[in-house]
Amino acid sequence: MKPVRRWWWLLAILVVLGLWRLRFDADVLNLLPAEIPAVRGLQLHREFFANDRELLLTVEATSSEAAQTAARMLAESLRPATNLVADVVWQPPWLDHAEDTAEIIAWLWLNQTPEAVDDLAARLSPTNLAQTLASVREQLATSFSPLELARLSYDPLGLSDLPDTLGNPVSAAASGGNRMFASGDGRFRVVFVSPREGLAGFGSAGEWLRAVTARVRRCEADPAWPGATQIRYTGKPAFLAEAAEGMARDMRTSMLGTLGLIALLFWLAHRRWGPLLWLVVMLQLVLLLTAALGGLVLGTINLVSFSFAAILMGLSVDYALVLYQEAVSSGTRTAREVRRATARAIWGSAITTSVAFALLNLGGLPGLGQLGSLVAMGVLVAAVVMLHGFLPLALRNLSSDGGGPGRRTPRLPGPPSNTLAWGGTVVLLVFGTFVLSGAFPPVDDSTQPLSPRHSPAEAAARQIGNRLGQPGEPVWVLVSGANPGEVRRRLEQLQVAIDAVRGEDPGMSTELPLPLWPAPSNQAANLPVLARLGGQGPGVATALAEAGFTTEAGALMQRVFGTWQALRQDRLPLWPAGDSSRWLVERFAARTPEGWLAFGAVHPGTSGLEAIARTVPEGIEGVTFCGWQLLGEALLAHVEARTGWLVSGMLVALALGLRLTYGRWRDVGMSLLAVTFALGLLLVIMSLLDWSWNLMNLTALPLLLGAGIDYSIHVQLSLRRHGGDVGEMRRGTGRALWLCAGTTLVAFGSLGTSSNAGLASLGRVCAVGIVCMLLTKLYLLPAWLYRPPRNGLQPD
Amino acid sequence: MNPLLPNLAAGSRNALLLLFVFLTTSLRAGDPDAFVDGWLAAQRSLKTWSADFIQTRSLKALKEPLKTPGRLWFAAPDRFRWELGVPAQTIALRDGNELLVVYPRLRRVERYPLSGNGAEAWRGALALLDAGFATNRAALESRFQIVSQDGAGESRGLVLEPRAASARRFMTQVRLEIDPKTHAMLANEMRFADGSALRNDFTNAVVNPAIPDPLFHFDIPDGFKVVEPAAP
Repeated sequence: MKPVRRWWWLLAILVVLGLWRLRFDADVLNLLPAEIPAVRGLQLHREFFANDRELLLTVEATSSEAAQTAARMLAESLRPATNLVADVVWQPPWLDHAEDTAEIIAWLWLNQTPEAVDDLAARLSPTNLAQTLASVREQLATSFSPLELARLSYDPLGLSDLPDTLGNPVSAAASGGNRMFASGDGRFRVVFVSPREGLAGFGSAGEWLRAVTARVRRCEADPAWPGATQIRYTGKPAFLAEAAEGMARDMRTSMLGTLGLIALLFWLAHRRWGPLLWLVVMLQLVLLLTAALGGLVLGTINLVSFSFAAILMGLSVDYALVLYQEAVSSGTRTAREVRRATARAIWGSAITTSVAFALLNLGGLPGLGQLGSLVAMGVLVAAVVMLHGFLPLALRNLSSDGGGPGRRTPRLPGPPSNTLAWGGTVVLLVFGTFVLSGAFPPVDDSTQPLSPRHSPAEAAARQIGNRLGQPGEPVWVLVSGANPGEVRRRLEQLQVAIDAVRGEDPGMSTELPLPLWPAPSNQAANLPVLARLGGQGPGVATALAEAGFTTEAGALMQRVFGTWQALRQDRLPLWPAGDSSRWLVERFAARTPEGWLAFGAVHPGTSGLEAIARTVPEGIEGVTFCGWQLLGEALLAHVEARTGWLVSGMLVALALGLRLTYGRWRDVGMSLLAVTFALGLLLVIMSLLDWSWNLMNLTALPLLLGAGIDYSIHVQLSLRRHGGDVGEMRRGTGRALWLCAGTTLVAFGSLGTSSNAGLASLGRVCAVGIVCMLLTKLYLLPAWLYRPPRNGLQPD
Repeated sequence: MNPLLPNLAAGSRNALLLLFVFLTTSLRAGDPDAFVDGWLAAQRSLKTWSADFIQTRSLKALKEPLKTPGRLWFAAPDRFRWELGVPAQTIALRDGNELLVVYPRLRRVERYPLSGNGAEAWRGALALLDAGFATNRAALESRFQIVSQDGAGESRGLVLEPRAASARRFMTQVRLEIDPKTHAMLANEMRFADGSALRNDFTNAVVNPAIPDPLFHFDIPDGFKVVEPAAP
């Protein structure tokens, strides 16, 4: 086998291997730096808590009966689909399983203070029991409280009347409340659906959700389905499906649109099918090779990062356009000659752009770092493909076309006079200073840029918060510890600290799982007392019968006492083991490789998020506040701290790259000055358009630095090649740069339509930035570099 | 309080509300025939009403029913005072736009607002109460279906069924016992979905007595704990 052929085989194998390894990830959390506590907290919650994997169906009906019927029908329709769902819960599960209710009550008593348990034991002691039951009979005869009547009818001993129940949804659910499942008026309900399998893979959430939706639609078609009932979908699977489908749609429209517009621009400029065809083929090849390279190097690519494709096409096509235009304008027909004339600029541009994009890895956002890596690899691939693939093939076609190069190409705007360029510079400087002194583009520290722009799942999630009596997004709190006792201690410390802050801000409320989290010391003290009480079951049953109660009234007591008796052999701390209990416990407790994790929530009051931070004084370890509203500020601080280093690093890298390219520091300085001027113009336009900086579009700065420096290189080297002849530069490189800017504009502009708000803003800022770069480099920079001679410009 | 059986609890709560409804509705309930029309016509002249009663609660939890004496005062259109026990151990009264349930011995007052979010169940129940004072068949039948009549001689029974499914989930049937000659209320009985029943046998009934206005108000004494239990 010839050595060249062997290399081709190796390349093919690497491509196949890379594409085989390539995986897509739609989870936006994976784009964020795990070292930020708020991010880590969200990741821990996703990893360890069941409710982060559930689909939530919201049911909104005209009456509570209709909502209840619809929720029950949905559950009955989905449960048989065991290939799709592991479980469907539409009401507190222990309502269907009396034995689980008894187990939860027995367990909650085990957690109470020893004093409370002693009181219970005294109340139920043989000497006091008759009096206790007489009092219950009197209450049953005279009470107007429906709740009390219902409870005493089935629980005459008051076992369910636990002294330590905080008003949070979890404990309320544990004690039979319905707040997790239905609104106060009952017309709004939530159905929890657990997927059978994990839904991590790209498209799997969407596929699963479509299957669930199909079953829901069949359910809605049932004659018994209550009319005017609305179903919405939210929860992790719904968000994942939305993100994946939005990104897939973006990729289709962005990539195909970009490719189509690039082809159109090329056709308008050159009117040649052969080179156009090769251009399209080579762009596809660049994408394929880069994706394979990404698969080999990175393995899994986040869908947001996969937007690299549009950027890469916009950058790659530049090389093809510069090469082709150079060939056309100079009349040189051999690929070797064109390559020799332009390789320095192409490689200089590719390397500086690659470095600029690679430096995004220092930006602090793994998602954008991944995007930067892909573009960095891609532009180097593009330089090779365009110099050695596109160029010879396009020129071969050019020769066989028989027509003269560049015929019927549109005329570009002529060069402005030196005076006009300097005048424009001064006017823009004055106007820009005036605008920016009034209003600098603000910084948006929300997490909106990380969210889809239109999200039905987000709307449904907000509706749950509003209808279930918890408007506003709570801050999540995770408390970790080596064992349940440590977690319990930290939860108690945190509760005390929060109560202190709440004294200043009564609007704040907490939902810590303290009533449900095992208290090892209480359990140790209570277990012998309750076990002894459990042994008194037959005597208590006799007393109930003698007091006139039916056996049905004693059923709950029998189960609770039975549970207490059975607990004696178990190890402390104890957790409830029934299915219903497990469903409940998985909402607030998790076992991790490092120990235990408790989940709770804090609703900020009027003091806002600042008060939350004050709830963790020094000394409480293992407490992490997280939530999307905390994320924005933390991420921005994280990115801002790195942006300075990032931009400085890029400037140094660019300066060195430019020095190698130009060989003169003066040209380097002018090049950087032009870039700075263009970025200033961008700020002015952003201010005029009322745009703001955010987490995602902040990274446009290095992107524009890298992409915009290309234009300087091409313009300055072209001017040098043509002895400062601006007209000559514009006929060749200038025309190519117009096309380059057009295609890059298309690439970034296509991101502006992205379903992800951050990517859309990034695309818009980059598109405007590219225009600023082009106009500065083509129309102002030559005037700054050269003074006008009689024939062309001379070095100034 | 920490209810563990919210569906039953909510059921009983509504059942109790319907008890109030019933106490007054039953005074005016009617059936399709002339007897019902005559009874409704007699109710139109009723402005106030008071009576002693014996309340019998037949609960699933107890082998034998519980009997408790009490007294009821009613003033059209929607005010009532209900005292259970002698001396009163429980007092329920509607005062303006809220319902108060007072437990003197426990020095505790439960306040149930009849407006705002979460009070739909109470409002619904009291809307039925208001309907009970309607003096026409349409208002009555918009809420109850007259299922049957029975009895003869000194007592005639009317069996009603709530039209609202939400009410039927808790209270399956209402039975009124009326004197066919005087149209006076003799007894009423509610049957609940869980098999329990509540019956009031009235004695010493007085039509249009002078009831002092303060009887429908309750000034909460110092030292009483006032609570607003969660909405059902």
